[in-house]
Amino acid sequence: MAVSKPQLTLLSCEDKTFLHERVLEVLEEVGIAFNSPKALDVLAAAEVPVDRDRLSARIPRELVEKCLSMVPQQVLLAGRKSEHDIWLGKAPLPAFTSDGSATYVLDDASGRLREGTLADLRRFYRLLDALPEADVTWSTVSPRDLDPRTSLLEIVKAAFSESTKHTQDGVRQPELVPPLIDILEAVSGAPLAERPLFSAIDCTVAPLQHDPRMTDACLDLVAHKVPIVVMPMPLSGTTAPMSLSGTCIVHLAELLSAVVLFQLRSPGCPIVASTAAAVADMRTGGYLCAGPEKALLNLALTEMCKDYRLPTEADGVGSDAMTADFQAGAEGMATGLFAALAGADAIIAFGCLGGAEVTSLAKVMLDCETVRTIEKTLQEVSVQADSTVLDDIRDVGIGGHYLGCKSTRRLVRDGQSFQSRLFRRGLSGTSVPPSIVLEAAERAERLIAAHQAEPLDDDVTTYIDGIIRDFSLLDAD
Amino acid sequence: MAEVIYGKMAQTVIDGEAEEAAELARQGLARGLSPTAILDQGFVKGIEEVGDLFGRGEFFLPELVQGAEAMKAAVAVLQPELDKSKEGRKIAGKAVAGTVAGDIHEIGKTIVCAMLSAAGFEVTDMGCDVSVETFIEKVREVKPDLLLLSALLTTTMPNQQRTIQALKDAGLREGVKVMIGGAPTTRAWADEIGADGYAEDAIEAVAAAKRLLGAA
Repeated sequence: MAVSKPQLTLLSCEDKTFLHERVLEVLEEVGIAFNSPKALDVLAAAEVPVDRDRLSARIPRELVEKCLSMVPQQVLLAGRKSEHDIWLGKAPLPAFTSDGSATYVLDDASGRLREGTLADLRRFYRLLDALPEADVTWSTVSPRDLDPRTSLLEIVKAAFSESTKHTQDGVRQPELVPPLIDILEAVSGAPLAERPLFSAIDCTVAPLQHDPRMTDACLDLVAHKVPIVVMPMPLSGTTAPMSLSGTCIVHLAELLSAVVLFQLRSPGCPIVASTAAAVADMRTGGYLCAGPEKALLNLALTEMCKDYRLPTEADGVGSDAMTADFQAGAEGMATGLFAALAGADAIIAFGCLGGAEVTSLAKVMLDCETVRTIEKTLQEVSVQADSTVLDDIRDVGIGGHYLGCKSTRRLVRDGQSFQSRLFRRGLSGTSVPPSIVLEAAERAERLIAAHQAEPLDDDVTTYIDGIIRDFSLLDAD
Repeated sequence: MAEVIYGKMAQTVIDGEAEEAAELARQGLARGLSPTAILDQGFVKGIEEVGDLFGRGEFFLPELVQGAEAMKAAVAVLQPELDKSKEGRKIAGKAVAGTVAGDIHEIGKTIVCAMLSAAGFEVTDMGCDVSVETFIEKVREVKPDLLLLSALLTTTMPNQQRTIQALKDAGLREGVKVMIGGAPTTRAWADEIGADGYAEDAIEAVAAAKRLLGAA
């Protein structure tokens, strides 16, 4: 029986070929700065022409194609509990992750912003653990009360203390890789390559550069088969050409240069392609993570990454709105739905406001409703499967109703009728109910109060504390 | 006749035509016009107009940046003559800006520099990944009114603090106002590390710079 699934495309085959050819030309003719002698060593060993003075390289097209073919098409993002394992590239529906690294937490009731703390982050991790819609966590807020030298280790400890789901984050200090691996293997009790509880976000620096310390850290992590989420963030108009195609070319050149580097370092290492290219505000230069241009970029880049057969983590339900309001909902749905309909394997979804600088509990809860709507939209439909449909129409005839039909009851139970937890559907009474935002925030508070992830063993917690303490003493020396 | 060429000079800045601006500056000098008059009656009028149009929301960043580039091209031609002249150039203040060590993100800082230039500041853009020592040397050399330190990573923010401390250690802190910025920075962080000013975005940065120097 034929099954239909909604999908959306922007690019023709010719468009994709055009973009890919331009990307190859950029990598061969303009090159890319890796800014890391260690990265250049890896490239030079594969006879890539490198410029040691500029710490850059020009990458031959044959090598790009070869390295692309080496990337696994399915990537395991393991949870602390195996029931939370996520296989990107395998599942019929996308996984949904939290957004990350906001500077401020918004108090939804008062509208006040304040700097995020570790206590805030723990609450977000706990909430994300409680929400079935969230598959992967990312430090929703950057805790300002942590020492930046060891903050990543504290963040990872918090992630696994409050949640049993996979977590991802950026590793900006290569010296943190050994203690990080110790922590991850202590949590899972298995080699990292077998149970990759953590994936590392590698943010390239547009245009056409890599962050040297982040790159060095990733070079060490790929040796342990830690999945790398390559996240170029060129901005149309400032760090990328203003046009959609120009921004895509810069984005994809950075992405493919990372693919080459990491595959040369560790052939077959898991890589996930992100679509975080965005748009610059042409009045302030600020980062805009939503809007129609962003939705189209998300769509085009997801299509390109799928064409490359790369597991793809698309940008999604974020917003530039400062509160969880109408703008936030409209922007998040447009960007997220475009990525989902283009076939993204994962979508960054929960908690992003204010161009990724702000997060709030209500936004996380309302994003769940957006995610559920997207999942419902993606549901496969078998138009011809309902063999009794004409029988029902004959039975009810002209006038009458379908509430008495067995098929109505069965399909409602099967999820044919979308039941939202927070979104209101249709008129209910004539009085205006309280704000959906406050209701969302209250529900979040109740979940946080009631939920407790299965705790880490005491000896594991003690071991992790020892690693962090030893590292801070070492670093202080 | 001079009024006509001054008008054309202003227009090259409004149109963001750097090469034409430089050429008109050369033509003005060749005609015997004073470098100060060329600047004040020609190009400065243009950059003021660009600033006004941007402030009114009629111009966007590319027009602002390209206007500043045209202004810079004209000033480069005029500078040798300005140096000889006793009149000098009127500026809103001298600023040195850079992204701190370990950080190669610089678009935000670059936009702030362009906006400050358009607002009449003389700006030295030191680029990115600038060490504490290099900042100190440049402050000693240029003697700016304002030092702007950008950081986009939580891991590089401490280098803003280290630079401010190094200014104190070098006895230079009293002579310069320090502003910080960058996505993860906050007003509280600025206060904590003893910066004089902080801005969320480039527009606010110009206003804060003017406030700090008593120009607004």
